[in-house]
Amino acid sequence: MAEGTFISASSFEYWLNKAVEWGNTTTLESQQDVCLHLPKLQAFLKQVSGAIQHMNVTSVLKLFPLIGQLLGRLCWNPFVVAHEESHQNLLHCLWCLYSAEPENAVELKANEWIWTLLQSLTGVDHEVRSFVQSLHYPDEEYHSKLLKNMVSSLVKELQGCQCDRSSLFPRLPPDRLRGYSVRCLPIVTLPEAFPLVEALLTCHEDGLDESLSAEFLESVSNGLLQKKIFLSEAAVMSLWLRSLPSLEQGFFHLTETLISQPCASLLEVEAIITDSLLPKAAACHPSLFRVIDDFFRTMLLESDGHPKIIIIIQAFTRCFVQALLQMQPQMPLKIYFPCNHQSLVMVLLVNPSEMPSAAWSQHLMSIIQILKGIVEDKEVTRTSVNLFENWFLLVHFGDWVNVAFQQLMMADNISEMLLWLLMFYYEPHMENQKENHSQENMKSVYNQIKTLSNTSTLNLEDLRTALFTGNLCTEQNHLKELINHLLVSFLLFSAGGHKIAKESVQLFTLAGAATGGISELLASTAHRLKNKRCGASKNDTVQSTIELLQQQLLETQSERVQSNDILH
Amino acid sequence: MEALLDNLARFAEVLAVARSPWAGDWGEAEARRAFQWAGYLERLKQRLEGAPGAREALGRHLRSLGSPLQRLEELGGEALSEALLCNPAASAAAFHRAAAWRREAGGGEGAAWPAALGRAVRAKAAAGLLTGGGGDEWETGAQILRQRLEESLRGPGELPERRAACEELLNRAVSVGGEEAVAGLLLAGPGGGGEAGQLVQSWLLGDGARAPPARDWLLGDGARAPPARDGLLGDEARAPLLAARHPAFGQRHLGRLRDWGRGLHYDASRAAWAPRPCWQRLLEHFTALLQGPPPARELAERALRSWKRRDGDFEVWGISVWTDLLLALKM
Repeated sequence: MAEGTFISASSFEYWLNKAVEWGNTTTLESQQDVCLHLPKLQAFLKQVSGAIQHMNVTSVLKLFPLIGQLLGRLCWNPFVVAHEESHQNLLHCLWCLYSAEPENAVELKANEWIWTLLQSLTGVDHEVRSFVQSLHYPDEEYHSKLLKNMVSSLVKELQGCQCDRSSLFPRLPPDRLRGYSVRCLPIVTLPEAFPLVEALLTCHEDGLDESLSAEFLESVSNGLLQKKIFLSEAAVMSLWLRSLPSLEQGFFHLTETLISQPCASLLEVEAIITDSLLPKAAACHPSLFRVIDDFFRTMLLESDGHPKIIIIIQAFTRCFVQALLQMQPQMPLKIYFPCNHQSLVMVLLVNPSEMPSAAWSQHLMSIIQILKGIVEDKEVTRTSVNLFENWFLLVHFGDWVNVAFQQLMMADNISEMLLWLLMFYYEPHMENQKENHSQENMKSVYNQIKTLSNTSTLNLEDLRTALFTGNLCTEQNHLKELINHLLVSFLLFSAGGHKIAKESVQLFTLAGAATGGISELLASTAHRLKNKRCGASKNDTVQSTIELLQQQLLETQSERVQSNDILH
Repeated sequence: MEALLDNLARFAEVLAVARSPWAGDWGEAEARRAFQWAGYLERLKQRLEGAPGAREALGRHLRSLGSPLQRLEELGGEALSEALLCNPAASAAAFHRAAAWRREAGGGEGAAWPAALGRAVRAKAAAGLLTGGGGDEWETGAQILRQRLEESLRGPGELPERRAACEELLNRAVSVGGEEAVAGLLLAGPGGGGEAGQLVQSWLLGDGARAPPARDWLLGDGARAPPARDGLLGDEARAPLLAARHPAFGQRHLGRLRDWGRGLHYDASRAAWAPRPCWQRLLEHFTALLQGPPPARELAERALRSWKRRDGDFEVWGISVWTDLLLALKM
């Protein structure tokens, strides 16, 4: 009984007044009003059915005298009855009011009322009733067929207005289109209605204002994410083009999934991203790409360059480029990347797997030269925005940075340039004095490591010394991260590195930097190497080293967690 | 075993009735008996719990009965109560008995209306949302009429029996207001209704002895004065479509128009054909035919010219109604 008091009499009155208002007019405004209130109404009905489910009818009527009137009126409103959740809650209320063994006149009357109500809710209209019955045709099947016919007539009408501008066919007036979208809102999750939803979304329009109702677009977006609606790719892209909130919803749904689910491999990540259809949409519609890129920009800044976000951006970019290459005709890159030099975009766009590893050094050099030219250009004011945009572009195509790590361990002559690139990547903002100092530090660390790669017997002590020469404690976090990553690439790519991989794990935490970024680096490297079409036999050792390191990292992490638990 | 199979068949019949309009005739007693049968089925299913072989065999028997049910699992209280609750034609007694069964079987807590009821309710409301011109109701009526006719045509028995069954179906449908569905069927999609359409055509235009009472409406009552717009052929919007699709209708339509035309006489004082309304209708019909699909257009042109020739092939007003029509139609 106590639950009933949470639902006040005034809320019943409110909804009853609303139901009366909705019943009196059939204008577009009143229909839109119903649609606006559907979520709240559905919650209210759920509350009510929860409150009355253990009560008998007589008690319910004492507590909520208006309930019969309200339910009756709502049952006459097709918007309420056709809406998925509302109709479920409505029917459940009726179920709760039904008495299996009526004990008094009130209960008998209620039963009878429920019976007649259900009859009118399912029975064919009287015009065609005798006819349909004469054919022994089940009412539900008739309505289902009728619905399909109505949908196909409407679809025909909508598609008939697809003609190009020069044609003489009258376009559908925007009001009519809006009216259809409002009426379609409650049934977007009904399979019979999918063709209508498609036709509404893909209907071309002249005007600049959106004709389809915003609530309709929102319902479709929700339905898509809950996997209750299935639409063609063109329809989904049209939805995103029409409604920015739905694009946002789709985007954040994707990123939340990726962040919260620990993915086994980048292959899985890319599969999830491709399935979301966002890369393809971005390729087909540059405006969508720029909006999505902006979302990524914000996420990256707000998370202060978190490695997981970077991985997602890089995976998304790979899927995007794949979709871009399949586009016919191809649009100029300037439309997608308006803030960057086209020459830089073009060199970065090439995937390392597309060329033999022998050509990597040369390609890296072109990238570095162009990038250096842009960033160090004395004539252009070196604003932080310029710097950021170029750095952000580089982040998209992180595979090349990954390649740079590998080349550092193998080639000798270009190491200075490669180091410049890595320093730019890990710490793009640098004041001049600090820059020189850090560069010197890095070079010395690198040189020491490189020397070690030539010794036949390596031990941990040598490695430790090599890493911690110089005043590293004065360096910023990101550079400490760079050193950690240099260590990783040493272990992966130098001749003797993999032998001491296992013990080296403890070095990761010594500098005080978190092991952040290392698992992402390992995953990216593994993914990139698997993709290679012209592979060297070195790959197997590299892969097994990667797996070994990943395993070790997991163990140390779980140990740390366990020890934390013990401490607390 | 025989008795068991008999009982299965009996229950399948009960279930079929529960889904049909005849469930409206069930009183308390019939409803109670039906659920007793359901109870028997439930106990049977329990006994056969561990015997998939036996269940399979029973399922096969069900299918051989031609029942739409496929498995033993589909019979029982659940199916019966669902059928009755979703059937708006079921009587009050049947409904209440079904609801009570459901309450009891569901243990009070988890019970609810069957999911099929929710779907049925939603389907009707959805149709109510999208309702537009109103043409869709009878178009759907035409589709289901065609479905039933085709089912009858493919049914058991010899050809004459099957045709007779179809005609009975048509008579019944038309007697409860289904003329529009018949019209819709004849005018449907490409091919004009297919097999079913041809059947309807021969039923309508067949010999007088078996002429259905609906025929007059459908073909437009020839005895009444022409201004009447009833029936398919009376409606100048649809008549050309019908004539184009089905040549037999075309012939009949033109025959009627010819009879009307012959009934007109020229009133020299007013320089017009009388009665005026009749002349107007004739003009409207021929205009519609000439603006219609090519077969209708050709038919009308050919007819007019040949009648004009038979009347003497005059080119002046007032002598032959056909000449005047052609002149009025600017041909």
